[in-house]
Amino acid sequence: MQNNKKKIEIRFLEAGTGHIEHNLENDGVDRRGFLKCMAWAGTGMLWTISGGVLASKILSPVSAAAADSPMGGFSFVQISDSHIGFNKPANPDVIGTFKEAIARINALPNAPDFILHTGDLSHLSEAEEFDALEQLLKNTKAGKVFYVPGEHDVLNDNGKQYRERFGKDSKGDGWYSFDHKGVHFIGLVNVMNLKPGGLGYLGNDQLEWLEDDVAHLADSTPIVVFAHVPLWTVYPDWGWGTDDAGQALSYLKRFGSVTVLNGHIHQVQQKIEGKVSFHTALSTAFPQPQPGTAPSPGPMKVPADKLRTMLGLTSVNYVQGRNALAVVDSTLAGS
Amino acid sequence: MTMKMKIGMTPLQNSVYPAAADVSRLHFSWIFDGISAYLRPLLKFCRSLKILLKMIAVIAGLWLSPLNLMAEGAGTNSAEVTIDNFNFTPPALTVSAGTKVTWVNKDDVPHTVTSDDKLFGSRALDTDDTFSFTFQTPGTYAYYCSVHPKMTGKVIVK
Repeated sequence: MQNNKKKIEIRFLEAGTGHIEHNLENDGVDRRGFLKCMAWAGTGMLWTISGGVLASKILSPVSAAAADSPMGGFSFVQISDSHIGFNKPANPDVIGTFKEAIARINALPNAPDFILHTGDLSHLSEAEEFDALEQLLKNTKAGKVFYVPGEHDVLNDNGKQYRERFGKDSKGDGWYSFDHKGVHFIGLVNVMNLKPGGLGYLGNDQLEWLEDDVAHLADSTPIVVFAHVPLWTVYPDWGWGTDDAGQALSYLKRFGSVTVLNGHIHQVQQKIEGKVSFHTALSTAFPQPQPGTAPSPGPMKVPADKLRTMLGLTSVNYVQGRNALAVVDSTLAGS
Repeated sequence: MTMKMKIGMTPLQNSVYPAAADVSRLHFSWIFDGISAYLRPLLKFCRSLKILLKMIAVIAGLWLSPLNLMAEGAGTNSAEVTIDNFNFTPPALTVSAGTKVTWVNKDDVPHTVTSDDKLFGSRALDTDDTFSFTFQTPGTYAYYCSVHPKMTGKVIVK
């Protein structure tokens, strides 16, 4: 257990009012649920969100046999920032690490219902990079893959190629929503029409669409919002935030459970604000420095034996009849 | 002998020297024969000086040739902005009208050079890619990276 603790490094950004409460006793997860989450996390950190209280537990590897029977909910996996086409230190083989992430998804005891890719599929928006990613994702056991674009996917053509390939049924620059087993999922685009000196940007058209999209939903509907750039201000000096995210979140205030999943920063950061929990995922390609610890963001050069401890994926579990989504990060390191 | 040394004659030139003296004897009378020994080095010196002056003229001519003017123009009317660590350096560049500015991306991630007013703009520049634009009209031109909009810069054209 001690050893496993060392394997996982998750840091918090206690931004503004974002005080994080640890409540290990009353965490909204029963034994069955806990074992289940442990099973598909492998080695990881378990996050449960219930009634605005965030709790954390270090998980140890548990064999599939130890897992309890499936619950009434469902699970899905978030992958992010695969940057297919990147070939520099510290990872000249981003396809290799992406395959490892897929292998981990396929090894989960219960196949996830689907995968969310939160952007930067490619490094340079090249057709062959998108081709490679599509081919690789055909090997997953999860049925469908839902995408939102990262800024690396919309280079040179304002996202035309991205939308033709990955956003056929989307609106505007590629935003959309769907319902799955009682949970409402919203994919937003905040990497287009960026303003000089600004951060990520949603724009009025998308905000109006969002307001309409959630208008008919009951307050009790669990909401999952996913977008590439964080929808909370992680570190504005490096552009890690979204200028008009506050407006978007104001439309979601009345809901009892809102989970926001982002990528872009290639590291796990979390914050809880009222009933909204924010979470950023690891990349499958390369790590980035923690806020302010380097002259700039960008690919971090780390020793080869450390690389996989800084790459990974996120598993999310929804338990029906409960206001809780368990968000679990696991790295590509270890068995 | 001293003079010979002064004008830097080499032993090889020395060996040719008697032949030249023979030729000059055919043209000058014996009266001058005696002093010609002193004049010859002087004439030689003058010839060398002439060659030297010609060389200076040729070099000066080349220097002032149109070709050279163009090369010199490119030297003074071009400037470079480096993109490194998510920064444009220098962030504010002052140039004279007609200057060609070249941006070079030294980062491991793609950046763009995009005019705020859409007056100029690059494609995404991968590592070591460059983009150039010649500024003809005085004014201040603000630009940013459309991929990472926190990155901003400006070109001031005088």
